[in-house]
Amino acid sequence: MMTFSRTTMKYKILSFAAFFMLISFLAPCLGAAKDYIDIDAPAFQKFPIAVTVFTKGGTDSDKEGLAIWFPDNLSKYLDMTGYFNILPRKAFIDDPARSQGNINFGDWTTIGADYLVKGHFSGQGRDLSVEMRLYDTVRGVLLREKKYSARTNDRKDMVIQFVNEILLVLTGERGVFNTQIAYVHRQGRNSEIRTVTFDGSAQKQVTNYRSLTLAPRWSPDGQRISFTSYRDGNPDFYIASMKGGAGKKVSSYPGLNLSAAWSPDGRKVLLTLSKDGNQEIYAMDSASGYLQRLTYDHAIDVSPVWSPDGKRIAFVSSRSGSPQIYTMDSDGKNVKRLTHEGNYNTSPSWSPKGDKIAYESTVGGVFQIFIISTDGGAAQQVTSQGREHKHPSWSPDGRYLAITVKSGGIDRVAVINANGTNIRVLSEGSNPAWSQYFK
Amino acid sequence: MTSLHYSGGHREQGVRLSRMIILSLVVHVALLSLAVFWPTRTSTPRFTLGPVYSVQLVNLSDTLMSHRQMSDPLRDLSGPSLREQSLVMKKRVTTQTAPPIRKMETKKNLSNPAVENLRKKLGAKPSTANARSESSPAANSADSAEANSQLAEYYTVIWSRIKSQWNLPGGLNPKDNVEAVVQVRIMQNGTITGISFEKKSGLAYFDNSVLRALKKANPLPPLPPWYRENGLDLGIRFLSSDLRR
Repeated sequence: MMTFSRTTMKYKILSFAAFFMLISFLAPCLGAAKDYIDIDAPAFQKFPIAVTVFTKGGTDSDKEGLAIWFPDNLSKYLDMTGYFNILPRKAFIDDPARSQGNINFGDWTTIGADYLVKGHFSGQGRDLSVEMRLYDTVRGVLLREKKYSARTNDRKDMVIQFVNEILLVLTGERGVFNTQIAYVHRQGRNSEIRTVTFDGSAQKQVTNYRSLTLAPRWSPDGQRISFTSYRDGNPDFYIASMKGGAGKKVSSYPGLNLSAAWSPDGRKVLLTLSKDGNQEIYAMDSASGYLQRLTYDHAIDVSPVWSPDGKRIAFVSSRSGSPQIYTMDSDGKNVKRLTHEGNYNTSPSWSPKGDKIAYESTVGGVFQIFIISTDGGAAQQVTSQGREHKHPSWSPDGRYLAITVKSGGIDRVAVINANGTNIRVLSEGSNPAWSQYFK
Repeated sequence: MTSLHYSGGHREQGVRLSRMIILSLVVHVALLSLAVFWPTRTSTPRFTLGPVYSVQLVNLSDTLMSHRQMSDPLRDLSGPSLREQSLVMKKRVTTQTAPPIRKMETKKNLSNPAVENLRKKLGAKPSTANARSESSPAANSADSAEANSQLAEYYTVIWSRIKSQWNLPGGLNPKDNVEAVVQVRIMQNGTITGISFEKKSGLAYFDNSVLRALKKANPLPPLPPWYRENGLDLGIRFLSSDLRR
């Protein structure tokens, strides 16, 4: 009897174990039998977009040719961003007469347009009312629709506003059309500070000192520009208001008073002064003029820039024997060398997101733009092709760099996408400094 | 007599038990071998890497396009045209001689017969691709291994199909790796249905590019004829960076 019951127990345990093992073996087979495939690295292709001729409402004739002016200017500004491939109107197979206001998305995907912009305007006298729509032709959906009413003369603003809308939908951020770039414009032996808009349309002269004027830097609110000028013989430091006026001399120590970056809160300005023997970096209170010395080294320390959070400063020092990029705390402590490759690394510019620093470095004796991660790592060269590319300055959205490109002995201010593509020359000049957004 | 009967019954029980144990062992061995030789039907993510030649990091027409769309002031430049010389490709493009499989993934995939099979096929064109296509996919483990290798072949086709439709402007591709995982169901005729995000990338434009790629690749080639199920559920992981780096 005993034996029997023990056997039963053993049997039960064994069958339980067998069942347990069966389950554990079967589980992966019975579970979600789904495969995963990995698709990596999208091809780099600009957004293919078609912009149609605008339709007109009302009875007035289109004297100014706005039906064409709108698509032409939308195309121009979209192209300027470097993200769009504008399809030529000749390629369109859509027949407005046949579609009668309806959109046959197949007509657009056939010619390779992923996106479509359509518009309608009606005008009365000098007033203009415009509707613009952005469609995703692949998914067949309306992505954005805007109506603008303004004076006919302000129509460029409507175009820029809608391009900003398109950028917001398709790239997650608005464009940098309402920013400006300050630069040095050479005139014979002298140079003056000028500004130019991102689209290159409006230039403005800030100084008229008839002397060598250098190194413009924007205040964070875009209301002031600091620079260095030899107007009175010595390279002194000035601040000028963008509203006008001749500018005010702020620092005139013996020797170099070289303008550098404003702190993100606008309270301090960094300077390079040589009053104590060699070039050292100082922070000056922009209101009181109080000076704080940040570097103490026998080598040259120049070109300081703030990190976007204001906690660190990147600068150039030749303390290791050759000019290299270093970073330090905003009080001058905790100095770290950032660049180790190349023997001439200068002009650092800290990216608005704080994770990268752009600078110039010589490659085969020619300056090129590099970008390095602020936590070190390998630097990435973004310009090449023999020409000299210098003085990088980030756009406030971190997607572009303003640079100086030299060809045929002439310096020009240009804008490139941060990956080095899509160069667009804005003006003759050098040493660009990109503003923040203007409100 | 009674006790004899009992003891006889006891012996019978013992025999039955050992039979059960043997049977159980046989079942276990069978199941174990099934589990080992049927790895692709598990839920473990599997990395199917496509053919080397279909990888395209820079679209030639795109770079030419950016070429064409230079601003007017460039025309004024003296000397050799800046238009021709200012073209700068991303540095990583020039380093694309590396093998197409990440080391980590290679190790993982070495034990995967389906991927091994796929890799062999990439090296030498298969001659027996359809030899057993008529057999039932779940008839036995050998058949299912074959079925899996054929499914892997199908994956290679749809991999290149979807990848060729996936693009972003160069300046927008995130520097740090981001990924979006999409669940799709591929119907017998190749139509993609039920697209849903298992994981979003956090960048709306990146997720949209993924949806657009699937939309453009739709319909995919029909499922293999031997594939009897109503549709194939598949996870697709879109990664912004290059797996082979």
